[in-house]
Amino acid sequence: MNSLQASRTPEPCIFVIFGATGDLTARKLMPALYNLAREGLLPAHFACVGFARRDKDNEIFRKEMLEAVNQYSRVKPVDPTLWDSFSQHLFYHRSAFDKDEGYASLKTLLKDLDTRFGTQGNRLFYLSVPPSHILEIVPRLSQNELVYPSDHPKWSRVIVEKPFGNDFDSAVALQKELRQYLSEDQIYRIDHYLGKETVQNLLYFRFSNPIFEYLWNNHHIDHVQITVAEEIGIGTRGRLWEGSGMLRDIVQNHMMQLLSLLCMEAPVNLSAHAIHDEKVKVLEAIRPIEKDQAVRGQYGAGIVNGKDVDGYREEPDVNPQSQVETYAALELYIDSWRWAGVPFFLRAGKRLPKRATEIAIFFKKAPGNLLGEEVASNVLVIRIQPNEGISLKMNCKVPATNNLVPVKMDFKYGSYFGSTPPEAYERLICDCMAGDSTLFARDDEVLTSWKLLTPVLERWAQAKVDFPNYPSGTWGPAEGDALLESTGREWRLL
Amino acid sequence: MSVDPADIETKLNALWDEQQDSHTVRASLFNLIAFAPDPGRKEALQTIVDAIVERFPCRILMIEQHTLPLIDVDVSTYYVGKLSGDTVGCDLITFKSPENLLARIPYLVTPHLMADLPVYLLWGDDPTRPNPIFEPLMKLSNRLIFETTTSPLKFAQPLCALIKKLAKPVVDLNWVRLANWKSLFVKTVEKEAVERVEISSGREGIPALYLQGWLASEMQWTLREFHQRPGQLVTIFNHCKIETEVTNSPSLDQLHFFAKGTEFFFQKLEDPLVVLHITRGDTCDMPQTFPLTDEMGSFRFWKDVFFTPKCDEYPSLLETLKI
Repeated sequence: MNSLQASRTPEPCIFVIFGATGDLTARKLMPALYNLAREGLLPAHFACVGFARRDKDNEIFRKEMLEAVNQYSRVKPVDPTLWDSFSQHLFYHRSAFDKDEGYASLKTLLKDLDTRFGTQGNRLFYLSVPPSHILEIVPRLSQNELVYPSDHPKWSRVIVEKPFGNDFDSAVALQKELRQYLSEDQIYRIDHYLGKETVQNLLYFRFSNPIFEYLWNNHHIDHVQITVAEEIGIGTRGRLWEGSGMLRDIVQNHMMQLLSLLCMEAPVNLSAHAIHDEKVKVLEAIRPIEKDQAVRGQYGAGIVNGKDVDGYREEPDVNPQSQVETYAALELYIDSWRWAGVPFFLRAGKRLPKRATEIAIFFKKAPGNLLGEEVASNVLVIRIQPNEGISLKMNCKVPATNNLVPVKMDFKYGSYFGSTPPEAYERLICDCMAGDSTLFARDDEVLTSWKLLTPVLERWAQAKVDFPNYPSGTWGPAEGDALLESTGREWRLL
Repeated sequence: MSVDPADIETKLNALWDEQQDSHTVRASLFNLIAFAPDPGRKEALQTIVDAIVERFPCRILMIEQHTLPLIDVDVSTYYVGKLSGDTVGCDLITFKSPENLLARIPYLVTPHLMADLPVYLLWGDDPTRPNPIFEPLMKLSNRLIFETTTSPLKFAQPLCALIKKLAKPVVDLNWVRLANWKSLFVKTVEKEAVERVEISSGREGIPALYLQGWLASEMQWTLREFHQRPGQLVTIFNHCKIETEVTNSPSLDQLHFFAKGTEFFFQKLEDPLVVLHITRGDTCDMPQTFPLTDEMGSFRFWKDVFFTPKCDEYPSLLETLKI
């Protein structure tokens, strides 16, 4: 099996979206389905059903989805002929998530659509809903025989959005509950970072370029910095954010996934199972995080893009005394043969000066002082978003002098590949239809990550901090800088 | 063109995209943040920036304190020369701000620094004068570059304190301009024998004071007295008296060293030459001529400004000039 190299062909199915009137459906899911149709990547036998509480019919749903695709699709304008054809496969089913009769009528609808579209009884359920609804929906799917046993000739799969649990205990509990109704190979825990081309390229880059892979260890790497920076605040997500925070929202999932892909050993093959196995080994090897290796921050009022912005505590639906973090930084160590002694610095923050997600690998400095001055580290930067690409910082002699200056070689996806890369959701939906879970998080990855971070969350819950501790538009709290300065390093200026 | 701060990079990219077919190269060796405290100083600073980008194309983030009621942001491309038939250019982002909004400028500058490249702060004002943006910009920068416009005797003390606090290379263009004079002196004069010096210097005597500060620091002289009269400065060290005639010329014009009966007289001729007359008692040596390549037009000058590692020579001379 060679699952990373090319998706298997999506199989005939009905794609059911729970929470079809929500933001994610409009911004990501429907544009992804439309673009898959445009690229000819949807199965020929396909239908999509939106399941939600609001009262509307198929025509209104289709009209709203057209508006959404017009607004959010990466390719515009929408092709009217294609849309006419595609939209005939869209349906709306009105029901509350906790009403049994809604599932019985869904079953009838899906059977009818199977007959009309030849979808062969295969089902893909996308749970685009808050975590509290997951256990309202999945048992009812099971009770109404909308999900099949995993050895059934027809397949049924469930995509679950993050967060998967709120800490280690709740994630274990959720996993146990889900496993009463679904087998692990039917659960697809989506982490849209894994669908990004730049993230997928991490493994290709490492294992197809020996010049780097030979250096990919503690003999040559001084430290690694992983940054997820956003200029936006929490916006209208105040209520949701108050129940999560940066460690849960970004670090536990996206950043730990990046870290595991960056640090894993070469898998025995490219099957989903082999790759997941190697990723878990990395997560399991991370040393427990000490108190002084975790820093949190919360943004205050400041200036972003020239405009005054409110502090977190002034945002809608946020407790004016909130202790929830909008910035987190960690110093991690992976106790493996390859990575022993190499610090990994992770930081994620909102209302930072610019949007940037990247991995920066700092190589060890040249030994000695042959050139008579401090020689900067070589730095390999993998830019996940925006300006997707890879750059290498080197030292170069300034012509006609004996001085050194850092220069960089820069590869940009846009310059080489031209067209807009597919959205992460396109790849992930397509993979799920094809039964390929490589780019989804497996249960043990999620649980190991929670196991590592839950003690930090517990410590933070017990100690109050004098928030806010960084103004919007700056690179986070002074404690975040001190985390590196204490090791004689500093954050890379992005 | 004036742009919304959120659109700076998009607009710049669009400007370059428009010229994709015209053999233009978008070059950038480092980030240069330049600050002018007023439009008048902006002109002088622009001359310096022009000289820099001619040798080292870089992303320029020009900050100009202005009388406009609000901050205005402008982006443009900046062409600096030709290379193998291609036109070489760089990015210019200009921020004009009234004094009361100046504190907002670091927030606007920070997102537009190019990662991995050094950041140099060209400060068009006295760096010891309080300014709300100096510290935040300096925090982002690897090196401070400025040009003194007042006597170093006035700012030697606060500048010494600032250099210690910054712990980063600090470069005064007036000091770098003296590089060639220093090497001429070292090559020709036995400095231990110097008893008296007479200097003729423009720029309010700044180059003269720097030169004597350097000499005093090398010789470990101590400043005893300082007198200022119209057109004349007199500094008395424990081993040497130095008289400076302050002229209107743009730089250092003449140097007279008196050492054990020998007189060394350096006279600046038409750029870029200096002629040296040595007189020993009643005899004169044949005049010698040396090139003077320490002005802003030279590569060496800018190399010293940007790439010389942090050294103690400059802070040491300031220490000598502390009153």
